[in-house]
Order: sequence, then structure tokens, then C-alpha cells
Amino acid sequence: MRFERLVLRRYGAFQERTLDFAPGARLHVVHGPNGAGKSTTLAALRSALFGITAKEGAFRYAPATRRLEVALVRGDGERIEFQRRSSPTQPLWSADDAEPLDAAALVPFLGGLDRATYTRLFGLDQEELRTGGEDLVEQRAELGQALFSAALGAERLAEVRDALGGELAALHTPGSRSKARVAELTREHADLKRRRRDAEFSQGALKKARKEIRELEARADALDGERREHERRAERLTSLAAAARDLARLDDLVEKRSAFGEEPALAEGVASEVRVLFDELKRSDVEATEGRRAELERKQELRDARAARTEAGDGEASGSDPEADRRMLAQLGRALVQAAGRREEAERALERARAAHARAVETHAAAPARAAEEFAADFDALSPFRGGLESLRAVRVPSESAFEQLSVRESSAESAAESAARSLEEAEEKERAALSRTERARAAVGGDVPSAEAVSDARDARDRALESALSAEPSRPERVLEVARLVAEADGLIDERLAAGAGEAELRLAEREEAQARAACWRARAEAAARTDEREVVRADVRTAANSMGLDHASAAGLAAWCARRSALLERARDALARTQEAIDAARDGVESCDVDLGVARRAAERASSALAEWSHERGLDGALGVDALDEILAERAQRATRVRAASEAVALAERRLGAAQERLAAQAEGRAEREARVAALAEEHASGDAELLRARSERADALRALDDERATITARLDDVSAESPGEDGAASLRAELADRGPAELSESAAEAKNAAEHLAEERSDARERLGRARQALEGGGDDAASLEGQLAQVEAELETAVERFSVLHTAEHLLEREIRSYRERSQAPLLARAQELFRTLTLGSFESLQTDEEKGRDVLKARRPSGELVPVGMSGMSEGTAYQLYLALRIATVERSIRGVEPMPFLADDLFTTFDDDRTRAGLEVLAELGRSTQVVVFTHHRPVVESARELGLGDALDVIELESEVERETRQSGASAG
Amino acid sequence: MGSPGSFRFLHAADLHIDSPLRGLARYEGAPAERIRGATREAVDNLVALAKQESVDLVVIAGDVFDGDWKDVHAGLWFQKRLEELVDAGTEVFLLRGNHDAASTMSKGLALPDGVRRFRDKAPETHRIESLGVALHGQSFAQREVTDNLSIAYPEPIAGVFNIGVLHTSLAGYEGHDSYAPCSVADLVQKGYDYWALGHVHGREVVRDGDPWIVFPGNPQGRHARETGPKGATLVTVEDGEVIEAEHRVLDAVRWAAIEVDAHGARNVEDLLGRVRAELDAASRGAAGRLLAVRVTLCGATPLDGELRRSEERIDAEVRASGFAAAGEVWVEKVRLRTTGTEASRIRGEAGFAALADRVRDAGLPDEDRERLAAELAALVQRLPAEVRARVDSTELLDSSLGPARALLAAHFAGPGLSDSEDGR
Repeated sequence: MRFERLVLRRYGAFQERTLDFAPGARLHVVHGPNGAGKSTTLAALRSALFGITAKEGAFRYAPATRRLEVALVRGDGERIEFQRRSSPTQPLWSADDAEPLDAAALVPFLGGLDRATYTRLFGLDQEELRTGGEDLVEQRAELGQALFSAALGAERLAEVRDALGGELAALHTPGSRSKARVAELTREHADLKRRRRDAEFSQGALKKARKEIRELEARADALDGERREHERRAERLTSLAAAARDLARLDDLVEKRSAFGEEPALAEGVASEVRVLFDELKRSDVEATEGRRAELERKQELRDARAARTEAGDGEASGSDPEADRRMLAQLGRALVQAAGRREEAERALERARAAHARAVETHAAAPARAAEEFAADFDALSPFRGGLESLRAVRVPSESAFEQLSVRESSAESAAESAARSLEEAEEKERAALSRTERARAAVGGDVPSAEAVSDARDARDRALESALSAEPSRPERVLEVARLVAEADGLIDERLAAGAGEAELRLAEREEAQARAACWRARAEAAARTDEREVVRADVRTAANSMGLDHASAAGLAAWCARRSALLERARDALARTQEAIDAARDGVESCDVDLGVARRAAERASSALAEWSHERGLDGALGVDALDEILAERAQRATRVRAASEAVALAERRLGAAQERLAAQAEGRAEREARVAALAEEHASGDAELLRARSERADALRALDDERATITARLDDVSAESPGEDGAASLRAELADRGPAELSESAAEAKNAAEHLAEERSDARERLGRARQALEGGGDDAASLEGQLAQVEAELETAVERFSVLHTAEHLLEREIRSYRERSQAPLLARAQELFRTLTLGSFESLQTDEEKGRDVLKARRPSGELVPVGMSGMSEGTAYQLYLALRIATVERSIRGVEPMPFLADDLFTTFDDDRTRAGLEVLAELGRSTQVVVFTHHRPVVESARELGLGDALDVIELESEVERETRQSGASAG
Repeated sequence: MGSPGSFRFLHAADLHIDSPLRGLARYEGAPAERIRGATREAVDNLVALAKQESVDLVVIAGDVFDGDWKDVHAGLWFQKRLEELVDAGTEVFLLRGNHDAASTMSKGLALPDGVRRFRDKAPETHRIESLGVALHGQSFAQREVTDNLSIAYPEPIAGVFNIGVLHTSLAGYEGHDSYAPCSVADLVQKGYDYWALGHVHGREVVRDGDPWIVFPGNPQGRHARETGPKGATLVTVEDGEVIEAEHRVLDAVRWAAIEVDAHGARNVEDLLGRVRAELDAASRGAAGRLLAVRVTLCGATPLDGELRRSEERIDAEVRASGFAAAGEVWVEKVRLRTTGTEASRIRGEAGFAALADRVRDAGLPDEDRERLAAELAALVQRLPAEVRARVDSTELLDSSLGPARALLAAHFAGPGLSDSEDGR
């Protein structure tokens, strides 16, 4: 199958791009610079055959609008033309895009290939060439590999091998520490199994566990009983120790009680009142002492305050408030300063006004000179006048009406002269015309004019002939001819004669007109001379006027303009002088006004000064001291007044405090007297009037009560300890139980018992813990064997899957190696024979043949140089570039072989020669053109030199170069076309 | 509660408590927690059903435990379940199957009062007068019982409902060892009313009357071949006649196998869409249970090559498809059984165009086969004994040849990893 035509109707970035493939070409070179859409075009060729994939052309056109049009022709001449859309359901349409086309129609053109296979088998690009070449080098040219690689595509073979090998290695690599999946799973399995065994709970273990639980339960119970016994004992011993101490104290209390004797005690109420009274009396003694000391202190305070007031000078009371005075002084001071400031300001203003006046006078004086400078351009415009303002002003200028009159005269004289000159020219022209007409008429008249006789003779001859002819026999042609000739002759003579007469008349008319023209011309000349003279007179008048003004202007209008410029200039000069004069006047006014201001300011300053002096005098101060000194004096007065006020306040406070202290003292004395009276009354009633005795009796009553209370408390406690026989009996039984054991000994025994109990409690909790663990184990806690078994089942499933997959991949790898060997056996001889020819061409004869050679048990490929040297294809032997060429040779030989007997498909080569020099590029193209004998070959390239190399092959019509326009070119062309 | 001649009983068998669910490879996101304790959960469901339906009897026809299971926790746990049944007033009858006979663990277990087990020396009959029922049965004394036990079963007792309890493979079932073989005729001839059988894991009503012969199946499927709703048979007897033998579902994890036809799928994503839909439907069918499912991709499709080249990815994608299903799904295995279409095959007489075709039909000479088998055997030798026992190198190799050819052909024919045309 060959491509005949491809049109990118709407595809990629392109619209209506057509590629026509020359029929019969062995090599199509599609050249396009970068951006010309070479890759798009290449993809479009494949898409035209196999469909527009969804990935394509999201570029410019919506999927539904993408279109490719293509024409294909098969080896047997069958043709198909169709449009390709991107629709997945109905991609094929008739060439006019109107009718849907059955996809089956295309099938016979595709050689049974799908897109991917076609791309791989009938395409080659730089990347594959490189991979193929490197593969040859790395495989050290093991023959089967090399051939198979060329057949399947080097990249594909590498991918298949990598895919199989990579997955195999991930599944299984030998070695005990292998990270491969099978090994890892096997290790995990072993680990799980060990854990499962540990977790397993067998029948024997069950029995053992149950026995252990029973034993532990018994042990825990026994420990509990023992512990409780010890705890009870410890408690009793502790109580007894306390009881022993209580009994001793009880004995002590009984002894103390008996020591008090039999004297009756005071009643409780009385005893407590007495105790309170004596306590209060004691406290009031202390209070009285403190009160007196406070009174003394207050008195001293008062004395101090009075002394301080005296020192502050209480007698000296000023008539006025010093602070108010200070404020007034400050105000006066400020007024004084302000007035002085204003005066100085006025003085400075006067100075400035005077200076301004002086400057204005100066400016006025310099005004004329500056005007001359300023109006220099205006003076220039008055050229040829030379001089200053004064001389300009002095020029005598005619009146305006005089100028007007002169101007009217000048213009009428000028126009009259011009008009006369023009009339003269016209007259002269007419004269020349008349002259030439006369000459022409005269010339026309010259020459022979037939005489009247001659004409008459001719007429007679004619008439005679006519007469004889009319009378003679009619059938004599020679006579008729004679008559005709004579008629013509006579007519000619008559015409000539008439014409000569007309010329005469013309000449005479011309001569008359000439005479008239001459006369007119003479008149015009006289008129022109007169007008010129008149104009000269007027011009002389103008000159006279100019000279009178010191100028040499020749036109009245020019003089008028000069006068106007002069007037304008003089006016402006006048204005300038007037302005400077005005400035002087204004400055003088300024000086006067400042003078007045200064007077006012001076008077104000004097007023302020005298106000201060007057005020100072009123305050008994010397105003001459100045404001600052006066303020100092006033400040001191103010301070003194403050001190006096503070001292007076301190005195008042001290007086109040002394009064309060004395009041408190009096109140205390009164309270004390009341209590003493009550004590005396009680003493009278209960102690024969003796207060001290009363106090002694009260104290005794208190002591007895305390003894009784303590004894009751202890007795109650002892009753609690000997629960069975309360009261005195309880104490007795306790005394019996204690025998002679002291409290210390008892406490020690109690602590021992407590320790023993604690120790037992620990043992018991230990036993309980073990029991809990044993019970939990029985119920199946911890690592659960069933769940571990489940995990084992999962790992086993994974292992089985992994081994199955390994087996498939391993078998596939084996099949691949077998296929490589088998392919080699089938194809080696014919393939190598063809490849060797191509290789010779590609290497420009550097190698002449390919041959196999056994090396270390493998068949390897070697290349023979013309010298006979054998070069192995490998790292040490062959350069990379040569390896690329070898791969290309093998590849093309394979393609050639593979299409034998089937429908050949176009071979698409994409920029293969980027690393080839020109000679090798040419050789490469030659080899592709060789392939072009078997099938269509389309070479895509970005590079112009590739096109040149193709042309150098001398293929003639067998070379078809298709140029792609770059985007820029295309747009330029399109916009040019639309503009045209 | 029942009365003489009218009562209900639950017939179950093959509980295999604590035996693991097999064949579930782990993967990221697989619901591992839900798998645990599935067999126990099914037994819990059995007890709950018995109580809920207030059945009078529970008959368990063998294989309560797995033979080689030594962990006694399983026994202790089962004891508790039995106690629950007894407490609920249910009579329970057990029979040792081949697994129980082999189990060292179950021997030491004491049965609660009210649970009766058929002895193994000779057939034994238990009668319950209040229900008018007699149960005849004989336990396995050891794992391998190759005698026809049914022959020695006693004659039916007149006037009562006679139930024969027997652990048997009948005349033989695929995937089940042949134990206590007997024929249906043997059983029919006995003249009982109901044969409560055990051993075969698929539910089957061998006869639906005169007498009824029923395999209830196991209550919990344990691997990919035990698919569908699993449970026990609830039998209603009225006036000495079976009026209903109803299958009641008890499983905690449901096994299923779905086939997804790739025919007509436009691309892999389209195919995965079908997988998702099928998984979702299957998951809904499992009614909230965890679904353990084997997915087989089949049918003729141009995608065959792509699927085979990227089998690992497809495997992961299919497993991930389970995450989108209505309930929880564990994809047990993804089987690739697709074939290529004619259009995707390469034709041509000579040269490389024929490579894929050639490899598709490639044979394996004996010497190659032996070498490959030996290499495989070396790997198998390194596997744990449990796995080794299940893998036969030669069989494995033979089953690998087809997929290996298809894989290689797919690699030869399809687009490579670096083949990409953007059309730009």
C-alpha cells in the first residue's frame, strides 16, 4: 500500500494542508523547519490509517470537527479515498465527507496491522537507532539477539526482557536474606507459625492450667486468713499500748486529787467571774501605763509643732498674695517684651522699606538702557534705522492721510503700468500672427494659374467630343473614353482657375489685417511708455518721503509698516518707564507707612515699661531691678507663706491628738474603778473581804475541775478497750491482761504484727495476679492462635499466587529465548546476506562483509574490513556510529524480508540522520531508497542538508521532496492571499 | 415447644470452628479484621437461630472442629455455646466426623449435661419420648472410615419420627474425601424419616421425602469454591411428617465468584467499570456480610494484550474496585481468562510480523519442560511445607504455559511503554 495523498483538513494546528506523494517515487523526503508540524504530519499519516486517538489534536479543533482526508493505493492497483473523523463509532466517511463508509473497506489496505504494530515495525526514529546500536554493542553482538532485536524492534525487545526479568527478580531471587517476595513471605510464614505454636493451648496445657488455678485459689484464700489474723492482733496490741498509758495517767490523777484536801470549792459561776475580773484588772493596769505614755508623747508633739510655727514666722502676714503677684509680674513682663519686639520689628520694616525705595530709584534710572537691550529685536526689525530710543522718537513721520494718499497713487500707477505692458504684449502677438498669415497667403498665391483661354479651349474640345460622340454610333467604346478624358481635363482646368482666384482674395484680406495690427501695436507701445513714466513719478515721491525719515524704502506700504513698528516700540518703551516710576512711588509709600508703624510701636513700649514701674512701686518693690529679680523676690515670699501655713496646720493636729489621748485615759480609769468595786463585793461575800484569798479559791476550783474532766475521758476510753466489763471492772481486767508489759513493748509487738500482715497481703496479691493470668490463658486471651492461623492462610495464599506468577513469567522468559534462537535459525543466512550489502553502502565501503564467528561458545557477529581485518561488534571493536549503521542495515534487511509476499506498508523514517555526517547521510538515504524499491519510504526531516543530500543521489523523478510550510510562512501567505 | 410427632429441629454440620478462610491474599485496604472469627460467628448465628426459633433439637452431623487444630480454646468456646443451648431447653446431638475423630483437642472436652454424642464403637439410638423422636447414629472412631456405616444402623422404631445421623460422602463428591460410603438406596431402604447427613460442604437436598436426605452444607464457606449463602437446615415436623426443610443462612463471610465479560469493552477503564458494577451487585447480595470474591475476566477482547502486559496493575485496579462496592469486599483472586480477537492478531508470511503468532502457538519440547519443571521444583522446595503440599511443579508448569504464551504474544504485539504519539 502507498500513500497517494494526505490532506489535514482540520487536524493538529493545521487546516487544509495537502501532501501529494509522487507516484513511482522511491524516496519521499518531507522537509519542514521547526514549527512546520513535521511530527503532526507524521502522526496524521498513522492516524489516517488507524484512527485519530483521543490524545491527539486537543490542539485547536474540537474532536468532532477534526478531519483527515487520505488516498491510498494498493500493490494490485486497488484505490481507496476517504475522510477520517475522530468519532469512535463512525470514523470513516466518503471522500466528499457526505456518506458514512464501512470500516471493513479499509482493512485490505492495512496489511493486518494495528497502529502500535505498524508504528513499531514500519517506523524508525533516531531514538530507536540509538537503542539498537547500543544494544548491539552491549550484547557484544550475540547473533540471535542482534537479529531478533532488529525484527521486534530493539526498544521493544529490551522492554519485554526488562518487564519479564524485573518482575521475576521481584518475585524470587535465591539467597537466604533475599528481599524478593517469595523469600519475604516464607520468612513471615515461619515467624507466624512460631507465634501460632506459642499461642496454641493443648489438652495437656488445659489440665495443667486448671490445676494451677485451683492451687492458686487455695493459696490465695489461706494467705487471706493468715493476714486477717495478724491484722487483728496488731490492732489489739495498739489498743493495749494506749490503755497502759491511760492507766498510769489515771493513777497520777487520783493522787493529785487527794492532794487538794477537803476545803469546799467556789461555785463554778463565781469562780469563773472572779477569774475574768482578775484577768481584766491585770489588763487595765497595762492599758493605763500605755495611755500615760501616749499622753506624754502627744504633748511633746504639740510643743514641737508650735516651735516650728514660730520659726516659720507666723507674725509676718503679707497684704497681698505672692503667687497672684508673680502672675501679674509675668504678665507685665510679657507685655514689655512683646512691645519691645514689636518696636524692633517696626524698625526692621522701616529699614527694608527704605532699601526697597533706593532699589526702585535705581531701577528707574537704568530703565532706558535696559529698554534698549530688551527691545533689540524690535530695533532690528526697524532696520536700516540705527540709533536709540531718543533718536527714534525724533524721526519725523508723515501723517497717516499723507501715507494713504501716497499708497493709493503708488498702487494705481503700478497696476496701470503693468496693464499697459500686458496690452503691448498682446498687440505685439497679434502683429506677429498677422505677419505670418500674410506670408502663408502670399506663398499660396505663387505658381502657374491656367489662363482663361486655356480653360475655354478645354471646354470647347470637351463639347466637341461630346457632340460627335452623341451623334456617332453608340457602340464605340474608345470614343466614350476619349469623351471622358476630355471632360476631366476641362474640369481640372476650371478647378485650378477657381482656386487661384480664392488665394488672391485671401492674401488681400491678410495684408489688410496686418496693417491694422501694426497700427494697434504702435498705439499700445505709446500707452505703455506713458504709464511707465507716471509710475516713475510716484516712485520718486515715495523715495522722497523715505529719505525724509532717514530710510530708503521704496514702497509706501513698507514705509507705513515701518512707522507702525516704530509706534509700537515707542509705546512699549513708554510703558516700561511708567512701570519703574510706579515702583518708586509704591516704595515711597511703603517707607512712610513703616515710619508711622515705628512711632506706634515705640509708644507702646514706653507704656509697658511705665506700667511695670508703677506696679512695682505699689508693691513696695524697686521696678528698676528688672522682671527676673522681682520674680525672685516674689517667689521667696510665696515659699515663706507656704511654710507658715503648714506649721499652723501641724499645731492644730497635735492639739487634737493630745485631746483624744487624754479622753481614752479617763475612760480606762473609770472601767478599772468599776471592776475593783465588783471584786471587793465578791471578796466580801466569799472570802471575808480578802481579794487575794478570793483569787486563790477561784484558781483551786479550776484545777479540781480539770482533773475530774481528764479522769472521765480516760475511764471512758479504757471501757472501750475492755468491752466486756465496763467501768472500774474494765480497768481492773485490763490491768490483769497487761500484767507488767509496758506501752513501748506493746507498740513494738503491734508494729511486728502489722508488718507480717502487710507481707501476707503482698503475697496474696501476687497469687491473685497469677490466677488472673492463668484464667485469662484458659479463656484464650493474648495472641490468638485462630487469628494467627488465619494470617498464615493469607500468607500461604500469597505464596501460591507468587509461585504461580513466577512460573508463568519464567516460562515466558524461556519461550522468548527459544523464539530468539528459532528466529535466528530461520532468518540468519538471507538476512545477513542482504544486511551486509546495505552495511557496505552505509559505511562507504569501510566494511565489506558481515560474518558469524564462534567466541566462547556463542555465535557472534563480526564485520570484515577490505583489508581482511575482522572487527567484532562490541565495546572494544566497533564505534558507536558504526553500530548505529549496522543496526540500520539489519533493520532494513528485516523489513525487506518481512514484506515479501504480503502487502507492503509504507515505511516512515523520522529524522534518522541527526548524528550522521553528510556522506553517511547520503549513504543512509541511498539505503532507504533501496528499500523504496520494495515499499513506499517516507523520510521526515527538519534539516535542509538532508534534502540536499537526497538530491545529490541523482534519483531524478524517483525522488519526491515535499516541503512543509512553517506556521509563520503559512500565516503570511494566508494573510497575503486574503489581502489580495 | 414440640409435642409427640410435632416439633422443629435444626440440622447443621461441618462447623470447622477456628479453621481459617483460605486463599485470601492480603492487600492494602483489605478488610482483614472482618475475616477473623468468621467460623465462630457462624456458630453464634446458629445458636441465636435455635433460640429465636425455639427449636426442640439441634443435630450436628460431624466435623465440629478441624482435624489438626490443637488449640483447646476452640473447644472451651464451643462448650459455652452448647451450655447456652442447653440452658434454652434445647436437646443437642453431636456426632464425630472424620475431622473430630482426628482431633486430639476435642477428645478431652467434657460435654455439658443435656448434650449427647453418638458413640463410635457401634450405632446408638437416643429417644425423646416427649417429642416422639428417635435419633440413630454412629460417630467416627478414627479419621479414615471406609466402611458403609449405614448398614449397621438399627431398624426404625415404629410410631416415632426416625432421624438417621451420619457423616458420609455418599457415593463420592468432588473435593471431598470418600468416608463412610453408602448409596442413596442404602439410606432409603433403612425406612427412616429423615437422614441428617454431614461432610459435604455444599448444601444439597438429596431427597425431599420418603425419606428426606439432606446435606445442610457448612455454615461458613472457607474458600473460593464454597460460594453462596451458607447455613443450616431448619426442619418442621408435624404429625410425624416433614412439612418444611428450610435453608437458613448463617455465614458471616460470603464467598462469591463473578465473571466479567470484557467483550465489547472500549478500554480498560470501561472494563473496570463493569467490574465495579458486578462487585457492587454481588456485595449488595451479601446483605451486609463481608464478601470474599474471585473475579474472572473473560471473553474475546482487543484489550487482551493490554490486560496481560499489565496484569499486576489490573490486579490492583480490580481489588481497588472493591472499595467502591456497597459493602466490604475482599477480592480473593483476579483471574485473567480473556482471549484476543482476530483483529488484534498479526498476520504475515515471513519475518517479524509472524512473531506474535508463532509464540502464541509455541510448543514446549519435553527436555525444556523437564528443565523448567526442575527449576520450579527448586523454588517450591524452599516454600513452607503447607504450601509445598499444595503445589505440584509439573502441574504448575503445564498450567503456566498458556498464560506465558499469551503474555509474550501480548508483549510482542502491543504498544510498548515508550510508544506514545500525541498527534502534535
